[in-house]
Amino acid sequence: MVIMDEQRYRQRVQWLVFIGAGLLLLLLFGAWISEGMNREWRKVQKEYANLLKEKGESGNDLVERGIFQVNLPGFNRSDRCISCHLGIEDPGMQQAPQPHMSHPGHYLEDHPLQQYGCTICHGGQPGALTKKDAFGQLPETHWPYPLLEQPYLQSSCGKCHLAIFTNRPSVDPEDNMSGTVGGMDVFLKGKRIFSTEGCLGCHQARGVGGILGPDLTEQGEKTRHEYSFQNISGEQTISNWLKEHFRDPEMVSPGSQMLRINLEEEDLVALATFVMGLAKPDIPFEYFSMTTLNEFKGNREPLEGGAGFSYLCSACHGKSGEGKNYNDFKTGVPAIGNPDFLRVVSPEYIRFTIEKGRSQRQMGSWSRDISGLNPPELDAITNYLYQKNGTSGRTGLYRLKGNRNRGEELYDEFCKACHGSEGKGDVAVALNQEGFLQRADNQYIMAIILRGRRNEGMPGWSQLDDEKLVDIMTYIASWRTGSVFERTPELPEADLEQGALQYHFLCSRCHGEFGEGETGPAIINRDFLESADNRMLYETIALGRPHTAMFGWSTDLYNQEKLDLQDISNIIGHMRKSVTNELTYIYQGTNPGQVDEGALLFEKYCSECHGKSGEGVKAPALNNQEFLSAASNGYLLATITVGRSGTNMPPWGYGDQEHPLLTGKQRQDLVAYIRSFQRIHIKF
Amino acid sequence: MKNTHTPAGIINRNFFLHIHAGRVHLHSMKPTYTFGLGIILGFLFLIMLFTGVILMVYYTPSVENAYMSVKDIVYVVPGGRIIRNMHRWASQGMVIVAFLHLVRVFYTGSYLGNRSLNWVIGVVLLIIILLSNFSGYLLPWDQLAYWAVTIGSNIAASARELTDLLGITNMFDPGGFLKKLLIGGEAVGQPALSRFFALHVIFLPLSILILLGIHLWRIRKDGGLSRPLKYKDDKGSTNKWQAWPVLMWTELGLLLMVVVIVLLIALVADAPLLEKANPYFPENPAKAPWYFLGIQELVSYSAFAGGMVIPVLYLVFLFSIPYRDREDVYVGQWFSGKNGIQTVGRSALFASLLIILQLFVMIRFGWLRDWFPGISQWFVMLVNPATISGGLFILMAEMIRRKRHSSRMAALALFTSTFVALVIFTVVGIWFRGPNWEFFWSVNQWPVI
Repeated sequence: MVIMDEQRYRQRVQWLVFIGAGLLLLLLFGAWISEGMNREWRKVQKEYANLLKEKGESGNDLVERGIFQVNLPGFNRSDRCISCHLGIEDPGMQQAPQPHMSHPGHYLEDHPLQQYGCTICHGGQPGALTKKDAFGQLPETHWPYPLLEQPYLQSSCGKCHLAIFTNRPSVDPEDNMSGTVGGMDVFLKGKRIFSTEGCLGCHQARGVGGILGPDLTEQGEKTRHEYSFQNISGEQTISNWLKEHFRDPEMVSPGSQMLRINLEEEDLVALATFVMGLAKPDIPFEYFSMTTLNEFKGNREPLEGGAGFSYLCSACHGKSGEGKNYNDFKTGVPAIGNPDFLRVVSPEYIRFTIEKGRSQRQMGSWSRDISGLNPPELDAITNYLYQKNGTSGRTGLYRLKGNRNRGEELYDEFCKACHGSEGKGDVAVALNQEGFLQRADNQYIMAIILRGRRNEGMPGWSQLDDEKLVDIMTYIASWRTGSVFERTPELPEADLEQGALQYHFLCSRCHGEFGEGETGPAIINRDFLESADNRMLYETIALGRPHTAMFGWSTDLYNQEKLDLQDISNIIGHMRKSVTNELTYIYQGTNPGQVDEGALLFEKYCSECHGKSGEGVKAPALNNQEFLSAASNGYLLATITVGRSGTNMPPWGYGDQEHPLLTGKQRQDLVAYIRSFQRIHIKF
Repeated sequence: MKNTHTPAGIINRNFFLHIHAGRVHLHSMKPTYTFGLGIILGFLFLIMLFTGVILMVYYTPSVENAYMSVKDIVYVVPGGRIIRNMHRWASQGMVIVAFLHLVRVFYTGSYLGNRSLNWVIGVVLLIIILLSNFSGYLLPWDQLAYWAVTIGSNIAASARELTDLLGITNMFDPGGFLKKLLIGGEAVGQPALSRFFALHVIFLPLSILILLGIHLWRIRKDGGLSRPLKYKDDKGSTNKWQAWPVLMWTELGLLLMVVVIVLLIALVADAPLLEKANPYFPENPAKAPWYFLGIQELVSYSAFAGGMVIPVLYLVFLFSIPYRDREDVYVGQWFSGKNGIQTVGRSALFASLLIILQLFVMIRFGWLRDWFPGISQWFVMLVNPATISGGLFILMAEMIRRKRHSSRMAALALFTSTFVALVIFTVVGIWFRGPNWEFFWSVNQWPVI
């Protein structure tokens, strides 16, 4: 049986063949046109040739057509941009429309095309031959390094030229970077913002900075995939992510502890541009500037104190050290620029805190291993802070004469709380004391009033104006009955070894093994020794202080040893030398307060803010071991006495509208109680 | 001397044409019998060879240069984009047509009679086609490629689920062995690329050519394509046409249409190329090539059950069909008559309902680990949609065999149910699984990460 007709079948199949063949020819022809002739770059090159013809430049005709590229083995790529951007090096094409326009500025003189290509600065896809793929900005191009638009384009300069820690032009004239590179204005503005907003307080870059946040050294090399755009509603670009992140870090990255940065839009753009330029690209080292290469290795100019503070401390502590109150930040941030703080704090306290940090708080240790800052730079930051205490340049005041009555009022207002009425002494030494007044001249008195005696409880009074300082000095000087002995002895050279022995056997019982004070005042104290001249020291040691336990060592009272000039010189030498030694510990100093009574007082007056066991509720934690190792008893006493204006810490030595006055003894008891929180004594 | 200028002589004188017989039965030429699938598959393979050689000239199989060489093919080589697209789309076509051809051959009972060996060769060819596609998938070295092969290599290692449960993996690790055999290590890298390249351009194409030769020779040996028993006694030229010119015209027509369609698709649709492969940034979701997504879906239930047991069982089933079912009376008939149609229909319905029900329960209510958080992994491995479906299908086929006393009906039932299941799982894996392999109705609902 016949199921199909061969003839009809064959005819149908032949139809299929003819149609198929025809379609195939059509498609092949179409493919030839679209793939061979109709390429985007061919059209562009034709346009360019026409432009040249219009300009009438015969002999400049684009003779060669085809795909051009710059081979850059150092960058592991070949840039084909010049297949369309033919006019890039042609000065006659400055006014031409894109893509024929020549490159603006003098960039190609310093960055020759054949050595640098295009994409190392501009981004984009080097191998592509269509505009869309070359720009690589749309998600369907699947290119992680999109073309950069201005001003973000400036971030590419940072790849080779950025030296984060150098501000001024470098010394080497061959090294043409850092601040003097044209066309980097937005980037440099971003760098300035980076240096003043304190970003390195939490982030590290090139080995310097904090460790709370991610390392930023190569942040600019991250692609879109390394950012989470889950909470970004606007443009899905890196620059927009960065701006949103600066505005509200916790929204963009839930769980982030980063503080908000309140900046104007154009500053945010600048900062984003800077961050996008933080990079350490894997390219031959000839392309980098020397300073940049050195920074990668860790060689850099030491940071000055103010710069160090700006880079690292200002984000938390504020640009002028104003700190953050407990409403803005859960545990508060100390106002280290507060004048009341600066007049009671010692440089050792600041340096210790910077070195050790504060456990259970955001203040970390900034020692070299962690922060990358070397000890001289940490010293510089310490000095920068300490110098804000306002004492410099005023010690000449002692020559002036003030008003005694006004001085009496001022004395009662400020000094009586510790030194007692009419200078008879309280928790602090008696000033109205003949032996003291005969040794201490006005220069000494003025110096001590101005700078205080750090660590010992005497705050500085630099916030008072010159007139008031002179008045107080006049009042104190008015108690002097005799005159100050002015004989300056010729002290022989000190034998320091002898001096140490003599100090140990004779003085340390009362003045402390390290001169930190016991029953007698602290005498190996920088403020004291810088204010007291050798004459005063000699007189005090030799003649003593009548009516006190300090007897004169050159008289034969009580069958004590008689010290001669050489001995006293040895002791003075030892004292002056000791104060320059590196501290092993910050000495607590003496404190005759009663812990039990202090406990009751603490609960009544302090616990509401500082917590029942000093853990800190809306005031700093007093049971913090680093704090207690940094703070001497004198510091505690001084802080309690003068309070801290601008915060909620009242001056308990004076009392105010809401808080009573606490006597010297009560304050001593509080100090003893606070000291009892200490469990360990941390070495410097 | 024989007259060699007859139509048969023209065929017989030419080495390549001689794969055809001089005469071909009419029934074999019916478009609605074979749909020309085998021939189409062969021509697709030809396209793969031709475009593949051109691509090989420009491609570099090293992890540093592979990606850029593919980009250069697309951007710079004249016509490179088209050639690459043709290679990609024809390869996908090959997988689809191979499965369709398998389906056609099965439902027409063309493995019956003396065609058992050819069926086996065909299944082997199917496996090699899948491996060719899989090895070629890696070569562009982009994110799609890298993570697809990572997934594939880990599916190869799924025996580890069992050995881990038994605690013997550090002594006996067949999963690890298989993975290392495949990609040369624990992670995809240059060793994987090198061996996949060698497989893809030399070993697998050669294997296909040799097996294809045997496959076509077997057709000659078996008396041409299968046909119903009523034609059993057609001898000589009864109901036969001369191969030259009719079959030649048919083949030419099919060749031209295949090339036209592939070229058309290549002109309008670009083969995908994502970012360069980056081991630090997994795709989410990371998906195996589409034809393995059914297996990946099963693996998401249990690695061992879905990655080893079910696929191996399926292959065993496929290989064994012509040896378990010898009811030659059904040869050459689509769906084997009314009974067959009924069996197929019911099996398809049963399979669809069962799979969809299980998916519904799983997606809506979770599965064992969600209801009993501490439950032993043994239960999870043994009781999941893969094993449940597999078990029920086998049971159903056995029941049908007993009820209808027919191995063909049983084969129809089992083949239909498993194939429907494969299709549904593959569809779910392709379109309904998003990041973290969670169920989404559409890509628009995928969360931004």
